[in-house]
Amino acid sequence: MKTLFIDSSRKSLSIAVSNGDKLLFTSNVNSYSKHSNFLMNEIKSILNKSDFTVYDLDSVVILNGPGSFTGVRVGVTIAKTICWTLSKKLYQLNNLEALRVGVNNDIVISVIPDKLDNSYVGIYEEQKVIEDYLSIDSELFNIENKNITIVSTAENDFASSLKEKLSVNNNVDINIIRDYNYIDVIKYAMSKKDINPHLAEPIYLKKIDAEKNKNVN
Amino acid sequence: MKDTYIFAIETSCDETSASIIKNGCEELSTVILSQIDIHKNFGGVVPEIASRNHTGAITVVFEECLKKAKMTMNDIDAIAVTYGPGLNGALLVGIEAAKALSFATGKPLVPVNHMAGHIYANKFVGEFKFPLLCLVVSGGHTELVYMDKEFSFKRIGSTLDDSIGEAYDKVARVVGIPYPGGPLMDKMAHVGKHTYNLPTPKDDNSYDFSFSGIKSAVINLVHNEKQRGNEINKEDLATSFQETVVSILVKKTVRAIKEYDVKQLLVAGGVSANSGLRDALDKACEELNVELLKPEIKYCTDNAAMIGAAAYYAYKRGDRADFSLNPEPGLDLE
Repeated sequence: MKTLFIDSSRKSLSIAVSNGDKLLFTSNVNSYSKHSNFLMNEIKSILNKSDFTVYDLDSVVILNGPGSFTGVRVGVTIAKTICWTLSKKLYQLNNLEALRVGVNNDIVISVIPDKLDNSYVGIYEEQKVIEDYLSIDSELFNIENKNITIVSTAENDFASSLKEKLSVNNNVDINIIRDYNYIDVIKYAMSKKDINPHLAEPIYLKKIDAEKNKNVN
Repeated sequence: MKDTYIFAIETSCDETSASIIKNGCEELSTVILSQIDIHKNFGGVVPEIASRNHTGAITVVFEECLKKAKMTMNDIDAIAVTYGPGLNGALLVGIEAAKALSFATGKPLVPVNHMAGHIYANKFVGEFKFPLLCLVVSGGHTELVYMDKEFSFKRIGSTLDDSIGEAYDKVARVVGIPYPGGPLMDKMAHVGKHTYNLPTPKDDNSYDFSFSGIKSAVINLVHNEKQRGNEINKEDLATSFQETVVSILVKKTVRAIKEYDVKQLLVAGGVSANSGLRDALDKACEELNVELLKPEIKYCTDNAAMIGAAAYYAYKRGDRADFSLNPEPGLDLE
């Protein structure tokens, strides 16, 4: 199974190419939200490095946010267009879930920092999943007597405050992931059902101002 | 000569569109997915929402377009995409999809200026005869462009402030006409009478335009009448506004036609659908004995067909983009 992995939701762009359990190449570009300049070229060059072309790919794994609205759109648009054009399998996994891959505890909370008091949060407890844009004061954080792991991509104030808050009544550790374990994330994404490229879409979770001000059905 | 088939993509504002154009003038299929009903809720186009809807719809629009033409990507010679002017995030979706399509098919990528597209929408009506003059009127532009050959654009005048389309939308909002105000005002203008006295905007010897003054005049008029407790006759105000702005557009265009001694006048852009303007230009050109090309109404608003028409000439002269192509929201025509 030859797979192309794309994550353009963060400041740095991550691309990987794998073949089965083997990670062939990875590329991390600090393109600082200018993913449009880089992503297509990076895909081209990482495939050039490997010994196969886009036509040899079996599938694409795209992380579809939340994160930079524009960044995610660049990745999702490219991924869905390639997969639609060449009839490749497309697997879509959100970034909150990608963060928790391989992390096990009573409750795992993944944090993608946005603002001091509000961030993207995934709360995973057995079969229960909550993924939303949450305030640090959200009642969803009223948890007691649990073993909790907080996962995030970088040191950030939201995750630190959350740890402090939860530590009062729980046993909490924090796990900062510098980079994904690409093979684990790719395998996890592909363990789920593939998605029709037409239906691939970013998840945003956060409402924009115009939506807050108007009641749209 | 071998036929050339362009697959064109347009996402500069709130229409997701794809089209297949043969030899720059024959439309094989066009799909336009308009988001107007979504943006109506907000009283105007919300850029972030436009971008989100483009991302959701883009490949579906591509597939419909190919199906309609009974073609596959193998039949296509080049992929063309609007890269500006327009909304940054909206343009971006079309551009990324075009890059991916170009990468996946190995077909060349041709960047197209949206305004050139509007001008080339006239290719579906008739051949261009140079030198020609083009009156470009849209939500973002009001300018007179001189062309002495294909794809050569020389601007001889433009608006110094609001575009004609903006002026229509803003006036419509003040008068209480729902979005999109321009087309509705055009309809109302046919019913009303020219009774309100509005200042003729920038009636001078230049080829430049200005519409912020007349916009303010309408706002003040509505405000004053409200204060006096008088009801505004919306139809009459629409007529007065339309007649005033159309007359200055036509007046300057006619002077430019004479001075530049052109063989043809083209009108292009969203506001070229305005029937008041079309009728006035028809009349003026008949008097001057100059041929007028007007795009079909369906090509006046944003669509990928016009991008495919312009792309043919861009492709022939060797315009190509690589994968670092980026949106240029303020892209100029010259």
